[in-house]
Amino acid sequence: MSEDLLLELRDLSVSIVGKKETLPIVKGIDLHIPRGSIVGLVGESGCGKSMTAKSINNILPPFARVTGGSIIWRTEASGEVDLALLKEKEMRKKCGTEIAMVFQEPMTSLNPLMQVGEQIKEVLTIHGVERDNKKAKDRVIEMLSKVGIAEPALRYNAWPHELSGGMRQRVMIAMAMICQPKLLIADEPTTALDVTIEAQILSLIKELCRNNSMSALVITHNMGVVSTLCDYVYVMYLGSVVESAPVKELFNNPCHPYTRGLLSSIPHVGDNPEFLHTIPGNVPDMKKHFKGCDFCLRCSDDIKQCFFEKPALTETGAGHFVRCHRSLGA
Amino acid sequence: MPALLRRFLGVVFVLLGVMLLIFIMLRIIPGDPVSVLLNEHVNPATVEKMTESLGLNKPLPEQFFSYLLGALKGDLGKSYYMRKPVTALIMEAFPYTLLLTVLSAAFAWAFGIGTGIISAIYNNRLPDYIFRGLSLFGISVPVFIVALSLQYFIYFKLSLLPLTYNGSLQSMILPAIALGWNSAGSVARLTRSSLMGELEAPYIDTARAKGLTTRQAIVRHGLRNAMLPVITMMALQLSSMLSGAVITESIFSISGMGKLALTAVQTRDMPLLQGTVLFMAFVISMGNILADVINTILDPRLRV
Repeated sequence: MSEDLLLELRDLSVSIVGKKETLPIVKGIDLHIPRGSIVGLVGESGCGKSMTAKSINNILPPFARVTGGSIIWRTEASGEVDLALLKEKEMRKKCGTEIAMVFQEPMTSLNPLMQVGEQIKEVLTIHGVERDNKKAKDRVIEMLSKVGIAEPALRYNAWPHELSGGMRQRVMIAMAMICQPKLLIADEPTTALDVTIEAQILSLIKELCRNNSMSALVITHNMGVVSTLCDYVYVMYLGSVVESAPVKELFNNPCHPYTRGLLSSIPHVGDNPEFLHTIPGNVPDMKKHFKGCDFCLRCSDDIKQCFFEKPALTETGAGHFVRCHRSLGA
Repeated sequence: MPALLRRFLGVVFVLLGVMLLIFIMLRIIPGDPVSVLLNEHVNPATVEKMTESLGLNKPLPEQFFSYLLGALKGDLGKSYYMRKPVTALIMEAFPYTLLLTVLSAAFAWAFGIGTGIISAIYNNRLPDYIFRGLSLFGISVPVFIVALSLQYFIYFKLSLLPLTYNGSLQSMILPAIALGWNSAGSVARLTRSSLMGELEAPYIDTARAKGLTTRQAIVRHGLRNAMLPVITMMALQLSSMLSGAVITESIFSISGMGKLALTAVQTRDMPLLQGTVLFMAFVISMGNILADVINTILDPRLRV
């Protein structure tokens, strides 16, 4: 099975490294991305999902570091590589060509002083993919039209501030796709966009993945995005995976109380507008060590065991893993 | 470019205002030019004759408008003390100030921007501490201390460079460093803080995600954004240097604009003082416009 995996995170830990103490923010997660599939990573703000994504292509902020585990990258060309051990220079060669990323904020993710076409072209020139200026420009224009930008030749010379949020996110996607990467990491790609644009961008990502047999890791806190886009989902809570399952299985049979809470927090048309379901409490302080289940203080289903023992991630069905004492029949 | 045209029109009004203010102020302050020019105990008739020949007996509005008319034709009157046209005096002094400014700006900016970038990249590590300390020193030590220390160490102790300006380019090095010292400090600090702000911008992550190393991301993307406020500051520094550095020019005896203005004040030379102040106001307004023009060229968001 493992040959089919493009990317495999094994027991990956990421910590904020300070002078006096290190604070774990990703606590040993395992995550598999099979070739050609779209994998979702869901969780509340601050649960470590962005840090997980940024550790893959090593664009972690200076204060954060991978402190354990490995990031196995499998390609036909270079075989098995642990990205966590790669030198900065080697890592940068893979970025943009094999692993590409789309960010949350299309407003600020583009350099405001550079024409958007030039910013996309930079990917080609920096990796020496297309040295001929004219050909590179043509390729960028072709890519712009592929991501659904009208009058691409004209838009090549546009400045970022002249484009709308949706257009800018299309530009970001074009930038990510121009070298036909094997993996697209999308870090909350539609959070800053309005709903109609969100649907367009999601279907664009899905279409590009299918047409280029590309895999994607989609990070989001929006269960709607997961259901339209993903094949398999990981649910993260406080730096660990609490449940993972194929998307249909997860929606039909959510086992972890946190996943159930997330799913019932989606408002539906026709619901009582006075009542909006929420998960009670807040994400606990990461600095405090707790020997029990991290979720037990917010859980409505907790039993005595939850306060004394951390549950292990256990397979309960085909491809369905849960980290909960209750679901194990305790 | 109607915006640019509007700016130039604004300058005209600024200059008119400056002209009026300096004109009034010079007539309010005690000490009249005639008594400075003539010695004490002179015949009252001589004083009267002098006053009349300088046109100081005419009503003030008439004096002002005749000055204004002259200024429009490029005639700023004749210096009482040096007996030469003010325009000619300014044109004689300006090249020295220009040379001093160019050298000192080159020193200040190369040093300031360079150390600012290093400080930002090595944030809170040894190079940053060194350059931050230096730039604090640069901002806080007054120009006359720097100038005198340079003269003491470089000329007196080491005899590397001449004490004062003697017409050679080498003798302009010490004044340029003395004058540029403060600017270097403030440019370094602004470059550092501005670049550090830009390094946290999401587009730096984007640049790294597309395969640029951190250094390439800084040079190609961060630096350009970080330089916008620095350029504004540099243009303002340039215009203030160009309008004359009184202290530096006096210490190194350079007969530039600062020295000219100082002489004008000391001798109550009204036309000369009006002329130099007007010229300084013109240079500073031009510096402001220059800063805006450069920023508009660099930053597409400012273009309409």
